[in-house]
Amino acid sequence: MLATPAPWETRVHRTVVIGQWVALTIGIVSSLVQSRGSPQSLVAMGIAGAYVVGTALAPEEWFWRRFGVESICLTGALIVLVAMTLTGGATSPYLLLSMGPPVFATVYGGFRTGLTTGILSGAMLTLVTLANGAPVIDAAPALALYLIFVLLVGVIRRLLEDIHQQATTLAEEKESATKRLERLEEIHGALLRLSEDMSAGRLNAIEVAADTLETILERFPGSAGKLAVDGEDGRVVLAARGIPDESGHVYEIPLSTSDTTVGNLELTTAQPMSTGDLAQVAAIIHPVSVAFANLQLLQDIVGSAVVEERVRLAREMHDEIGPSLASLGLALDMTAMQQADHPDVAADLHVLRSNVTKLVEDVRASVADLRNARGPTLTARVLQTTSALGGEPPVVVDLEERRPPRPTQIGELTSIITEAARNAHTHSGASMVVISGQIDRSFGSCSVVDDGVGFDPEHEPEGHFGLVGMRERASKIGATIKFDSKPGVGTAVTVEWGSR
Amino acid sequence: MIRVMIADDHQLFADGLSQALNSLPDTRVVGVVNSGPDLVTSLDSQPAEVAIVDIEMPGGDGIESISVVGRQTKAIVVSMHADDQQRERAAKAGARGFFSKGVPLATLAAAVRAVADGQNLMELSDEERDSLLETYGEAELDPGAASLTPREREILQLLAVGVSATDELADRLYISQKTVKNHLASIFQKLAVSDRTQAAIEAIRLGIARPS
Repeated sequence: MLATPAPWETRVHRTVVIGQWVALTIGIVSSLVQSRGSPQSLVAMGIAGAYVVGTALAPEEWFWRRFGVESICLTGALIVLVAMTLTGGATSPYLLLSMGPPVFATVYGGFRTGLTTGILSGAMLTLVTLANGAPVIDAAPALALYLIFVLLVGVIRRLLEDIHQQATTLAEEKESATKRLERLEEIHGALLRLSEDMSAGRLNAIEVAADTLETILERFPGSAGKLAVDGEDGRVVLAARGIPDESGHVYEIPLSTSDTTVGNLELTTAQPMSTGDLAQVAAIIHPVSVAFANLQLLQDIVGSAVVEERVRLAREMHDEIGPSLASLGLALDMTAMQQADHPDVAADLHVLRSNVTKLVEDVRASVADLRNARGPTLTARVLQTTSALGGEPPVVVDLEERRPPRPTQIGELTSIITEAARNAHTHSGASMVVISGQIDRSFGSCSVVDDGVGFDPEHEPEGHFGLVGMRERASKIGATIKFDSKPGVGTAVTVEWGSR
Repeated sequence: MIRVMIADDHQLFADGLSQALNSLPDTRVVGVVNSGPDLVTSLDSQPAEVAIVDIEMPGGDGIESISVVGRQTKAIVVSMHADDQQRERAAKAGARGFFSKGVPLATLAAAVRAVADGQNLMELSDEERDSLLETYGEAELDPGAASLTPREREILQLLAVGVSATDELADRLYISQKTVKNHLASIFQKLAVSDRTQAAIEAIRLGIARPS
């Protein structure tokens, strides 16, 4: 496998080639001056010229081939030695040119190859010198030059290699950083769009789940389904439609993306599903799975920042705003006492005082909300509690929950709805119990309706219904509860809280 | 006179509450501290019948200090944390009352009187508590202040408008200077004060005299 020459290596190659041309020129001129155009000098000129032209024309990749540089340099060293032998051996005008092969060897083969080539060239030159009857010392300057050139070029090569390595590393890091930045920008853009969609109500997990489930159930008439996602506090059911047939075929289909599972779809069908049907369902839920995964990602990222900000806000409200308002209330109380002789003024101050008291209570409730803002939805809680009832009659949960109720209310609302459903399930003899309603945080309305025996709300049956308990719970959170029932007709329990 | 200690780290609220309770004729704030441990220390040197305690304070939790001071001082928790969990903690620690900081002064004053009288509001339902507090709605003067004679009240009124010299008081009331001194001695004893200026201030505070 051929190594690809680095740009600096190509430049060094050209430089050495140019250097050889210069050395050849110097050699030719010196040779012409010294020998005045003798036949030997002309032959040497031709040989030296052939060597320089050959190395200049040789494709660079030849040097990178296995044993390429060794072959070229050894051949080159022999050719130049011939030219030198013809023109005086160690004192030849082509001495400078003879540095070419060791230099090439050092550049392409490294210090060791360069040194080997230099020593071989020097040894051959020494032999030629001895063969010519000249003293060995005549070859010493040439040997020293070989070594100096090899050493110098070797050091330069190492320096250039280090610089190239650093430049490569920097370029790679820059490229990697650029890619990460681009990815972050993409994520930022995606999160921003998701955030905008959520703010605008375009991406509501419950609505998406309900729509998906309805799309699937439309394709498989008579089936029932439940779509749930994995939340921090366990699996949360986002939508449930239809009444599962006990003799039906149950399929658990995971909501998965390429690298994670975000929930599952429980589908109960009247007829067994074919592989094609399952593939069809998988195709429908895949984009939903991706959307939920993105939503979870967004919630994770935004969640930590939101929690931090929520804690800060709660602390500020608890430590500063609340007590300051309370202090204002006390000041109003004192002023009202001092205005006992002016009933009109005192009455106005009392009204102001009541408003301040309400404000303090609102702040207190908000602090509680901020500190306990996370948790399962009302739908999830109701599904969990009513699923424990089991058996007949079936309890159908069909709640449209845009945002969960306030943490200070959700517990009592769950208890009220569960109690009503339990009563209907256990005592009414109904064929079905339906829990429906709409919820949007501080306001909502939920009904538990059955087609059972009903009762007379004016005469609460003994022991079972606990209507008083439900009324007390509703009263505690500022909600109203209504019991519509007639013997033999069925019962509707409706709890309402807040207003738009 | 019911002596009250306040433990609350919110200075504005603590000062407002102190001023409000001091404006009532039967309560006097003897100290304001800003942590639970400080409450325990302060009550050692300055006894009080009732302590009004916040829960969350940087220097130390208020409820923890209630169990320590409970033997000598009855505690009422007044906090922004008016939830069931904290209410239970306070009850276990021995608190006698539990209110949100939005509580009106009249309700809090009635609670202070009830608790000082030995009542435990924590044992009552909301309705029972409200009903009980109605019976403590009016301030009751100290037996001493209540036993002031009409003449002593006249002297206090004169002190309140700046007439304090014995001869002048004697001239205004057509009584001898010795009688004036006797009345003043009686007043000092009944109001638990030591000089005429304190007597005038106390008389104004109790509503017995007006400064102008």
